[in-house]
Amino acid sequence: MNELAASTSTEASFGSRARIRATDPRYMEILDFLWEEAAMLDRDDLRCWQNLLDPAIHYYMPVCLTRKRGSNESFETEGMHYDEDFGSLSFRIRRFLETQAWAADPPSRARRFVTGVRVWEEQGEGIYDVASSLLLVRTMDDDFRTDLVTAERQDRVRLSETGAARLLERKILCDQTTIGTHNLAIFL
Amino acid sequence: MTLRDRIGPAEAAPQLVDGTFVRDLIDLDAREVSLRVHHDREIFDIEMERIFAKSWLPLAHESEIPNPGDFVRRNAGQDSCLVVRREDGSIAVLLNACSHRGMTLCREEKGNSQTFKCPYHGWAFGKDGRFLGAPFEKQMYGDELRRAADDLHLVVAKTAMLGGMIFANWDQDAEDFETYLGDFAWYLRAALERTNRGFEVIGPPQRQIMRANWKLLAEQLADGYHARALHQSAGDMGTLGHDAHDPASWGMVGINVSTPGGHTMRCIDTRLAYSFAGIGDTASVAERLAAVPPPGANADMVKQFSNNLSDGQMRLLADTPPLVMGLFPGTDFFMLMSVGGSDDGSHGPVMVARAWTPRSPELFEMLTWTLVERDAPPDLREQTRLTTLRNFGISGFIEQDDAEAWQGIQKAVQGPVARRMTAKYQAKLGVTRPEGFEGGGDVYAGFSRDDAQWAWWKRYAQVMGA
Repeated sequence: MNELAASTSTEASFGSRARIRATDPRYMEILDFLWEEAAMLDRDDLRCWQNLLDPAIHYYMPVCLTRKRGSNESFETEGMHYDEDFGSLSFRIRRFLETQAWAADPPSRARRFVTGVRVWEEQGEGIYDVASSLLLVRTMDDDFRTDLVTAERQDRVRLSETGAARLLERKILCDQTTIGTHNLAIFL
Repeated sequence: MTLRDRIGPAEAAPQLVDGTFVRDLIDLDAREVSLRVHHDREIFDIEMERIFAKSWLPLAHESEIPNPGDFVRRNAGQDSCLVVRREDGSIAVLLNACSHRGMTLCREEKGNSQTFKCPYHGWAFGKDGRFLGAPFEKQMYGDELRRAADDLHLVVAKTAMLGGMIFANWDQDAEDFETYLGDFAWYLRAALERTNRGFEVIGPPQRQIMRANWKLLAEQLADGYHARALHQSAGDMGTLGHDAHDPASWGMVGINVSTPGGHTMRCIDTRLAYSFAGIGDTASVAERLAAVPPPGANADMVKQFSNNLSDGQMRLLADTPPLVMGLFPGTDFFMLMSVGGSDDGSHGPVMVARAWTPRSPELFEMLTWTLVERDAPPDLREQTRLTTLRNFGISGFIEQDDAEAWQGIQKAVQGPVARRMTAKYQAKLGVTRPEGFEGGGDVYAGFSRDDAQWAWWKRYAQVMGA
């Protein structure tokens, strides 16, 4: 299993734990969680999605810049597109569901393709680092053109013994310096 | 017919292919604008030549490039440029195109470099844009390049700074920055240069695209009227309009200002919008500022204001702090007192500088910086960062709803029937300068009507119609 240990920059940011193979039941649990989560967001079931969030969640999306190879500073530590906790995510969800939020009513339709899922060995308390690739395809109104957003998501997920998984942290590393959709009235 | 033929010499009135003069699209008597201005490619091309290639445009904040050699790459109008900190600490804005063949010189958005070397043939330029040398220069050119070094200098823009924001103008004959600001300078300096150390920005700006004509944002800045309907959600969430039936609580009452240069501003009357319970009628300006500091400041920082501002500017910040300050054609500063954005009940200010770059008639790019006083304590800095992020910019829910109006109008004008319609600006207050108010320009105190917005269009008509 050690041959899957950290080697890329993404993996380095998760520390030095070994990666869990895709055949591991815990990997399958987490994969299932990510798929279920994506489906909830795709069907705009935001209340349900909120139930997947740990009360201590940190959900953030740094600004990406085009930098020289090797600069290691493509993502800014201060400039953000999103920087949310449970309270602000809850506020956003209430706004979408309970108020006249023109930007999300009618809602856009989005499909989230989650692939390339990698899971690292437990850090204790059932907490796992999880990286995935996201392809978000977003359609609005009667426009046949779609918006595409691609990103790596670096998550911390907690698996409980009852099988209920919760999202503790999500860092969204978008590939676009100019985001490929006009707003983020949408979760990634 | 080439674009040059259509635009004609600078003094000629531009005429569209169908014979319409651009100036005829703005009815100065009826105060109406043909919606066609948001659609036609021809009009867009003329705007880029007449407005964006000749106007002062904001590119970066000086705090983004603190050290010599620090640079960011930005767009000034439709041209890519480099904003560079020179050795002596001053700032150069250079066209990001090699003087040899026009190759994009620098392909990074941010970095530190002592020189800029073209990837194509290797011509090198200094931080000030000076031509330094070329590979195999002797064999290729003898000493010709040495003699022509001045002509090979990168194209340099004129630069100016306000509140740490770096502005540039490609037109060497353009009016100087102070003339451009005109009476607006007094207000902007009150809002942006009030403390001893001034503002910095938090991180690089967000970049986003809007499927709308750039003017729909630019002209909206002076529109106070939209708050109640378009920001209904912010009202429902308790962020704006705490009394749904009271226009003051929606920021619709205060002082609007415009200048002949097309700059527009809305100031919120704090005396109507906020509670001053416990502060007597006779409280001094300093006492009122300390009780309700303007956006982004605290009672401690307010003490510095008198070092930097006149009594009149202090009064402006105490009674009617500027909410949105729009500079013609592509800049604004937005400072909102205290809004929410989280179910934890936390509140904070919204502090942004924005710039927009037209990409095509139906698309513009927007840059959003978060501004914070350098002297802000960590908790105020953090709250400013978070509240701003949650209300403005790409994920900001106030601005998301604004964008619906820009994009909604853009959709409508795709239709030839809608394009023949006009946008209407007849709600007129007239100049109503409060007694003792020291600010210049045309001042409209009271309900935020169309006056300042119309002033924007008058300036547009002037630039496009001369």
